[in-house]
Amino acid sequence: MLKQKLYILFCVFSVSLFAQTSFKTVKDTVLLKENINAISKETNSLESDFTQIKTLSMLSEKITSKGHFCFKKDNLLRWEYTSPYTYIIVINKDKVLIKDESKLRKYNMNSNKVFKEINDIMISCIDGKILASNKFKIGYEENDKAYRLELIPLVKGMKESLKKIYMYFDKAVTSVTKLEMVESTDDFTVIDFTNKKVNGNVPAEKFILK
Amino acid sequence: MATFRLKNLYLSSLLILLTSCAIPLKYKLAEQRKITATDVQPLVSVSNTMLYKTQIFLFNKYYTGMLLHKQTDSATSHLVFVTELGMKMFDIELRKDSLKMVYCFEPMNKPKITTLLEQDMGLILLYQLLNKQGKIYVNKKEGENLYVTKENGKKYIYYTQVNSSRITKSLVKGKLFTKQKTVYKFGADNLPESVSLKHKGLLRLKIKLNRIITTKTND
Repeated sequence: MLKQKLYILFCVFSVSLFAQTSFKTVKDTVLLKENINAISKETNSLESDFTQIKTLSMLSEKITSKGHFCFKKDNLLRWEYTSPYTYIIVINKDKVLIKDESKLRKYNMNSNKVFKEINDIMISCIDGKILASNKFKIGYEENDKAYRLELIPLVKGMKESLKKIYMYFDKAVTSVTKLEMVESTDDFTVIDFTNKKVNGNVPAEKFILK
Repeated sequence: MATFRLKNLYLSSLLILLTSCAIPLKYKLAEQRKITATDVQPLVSVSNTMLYKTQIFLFNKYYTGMLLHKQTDSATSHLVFVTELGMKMFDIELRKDSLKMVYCFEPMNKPKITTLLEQDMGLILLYQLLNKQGKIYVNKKEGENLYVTKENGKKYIYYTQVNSSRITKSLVKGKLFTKQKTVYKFGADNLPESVSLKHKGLLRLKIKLNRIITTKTND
């Protein structure tokens, strides 16, 4: 009898847990798109801490990195990794600046296809412009806690390496809370954004590296 | 006078060539046999997952990220290079006597690049030394050993630490010039702390690895 009760309790618990995490297709995508477009227009700057976990599926191994992230319109981005080591990447319009240890490297965005693609994805995910992109097929999903956009690459050169990107928004659609990039090998990277500050004062010096 | 200068130039060049290809005089040939893991400590650790901060200067491109080595079963391990932003750049499968690129990020996936990376990773991990027939030279006075193997017209020379089986340096020599130089440093835990590989001559390739000691989250 006790066993039966425990089994029922386990089933109820499993179902409720599943209900919380599983995503269903959004029926009315118009409103969601409007909300995302609205935050895209209203967000002039964004600052946040992040935790990035890279999962190498075949090796059952995870690599965790942490840092701070800043974004400012138009096309200014700073990823500052503080763990496991210090590494800063700044995208300032069409320039890529990398500070690795004490060395500073400068690149022209257009001279490096890889940087350009990564930058385009990152910035358009953050400012919401990805919805207007013709580079992805977009699916809209939700559960009781979040909205999830499933972006499937359509263009050659990207779809060979990247299977899909998931973008998570909180239910109030105030900003991106999480990004998940799934590679063709089923390895994936999850970036969780915490301590977000929307439209705070982000000094222009943050996007200059010396 | 001009002819004399030219002769001198030829002679000194020849002398440099001869000495650069020679084994230093302080080392004497001791024996010739298969080099094993008891002679030289392998760089990959079966029991430890290793993570290295990695810089790769390849032609005119600069890639940085983390290189992870993990044993997946008793005969296989993998060497995976991931950029800081999380993109996997390559995955090399390592077996006892061979290594193979099993994944390479599309923009880098060109035979010239993948072959070069396979060769260099093989060189760093002593694939041209362990389980190969080679010559063992000994410097008894300073307690140092030197190992020499040959493959495809190249000479591989490996130097070990004083009274130790840990590698300190390796040189790859072609018919005339040194082609690659790799320098190793070990930590107090007997695991490689840093490795740097540099190609000499026209080929612009450098690899730098620095071990990261971190707390990893595993499932």
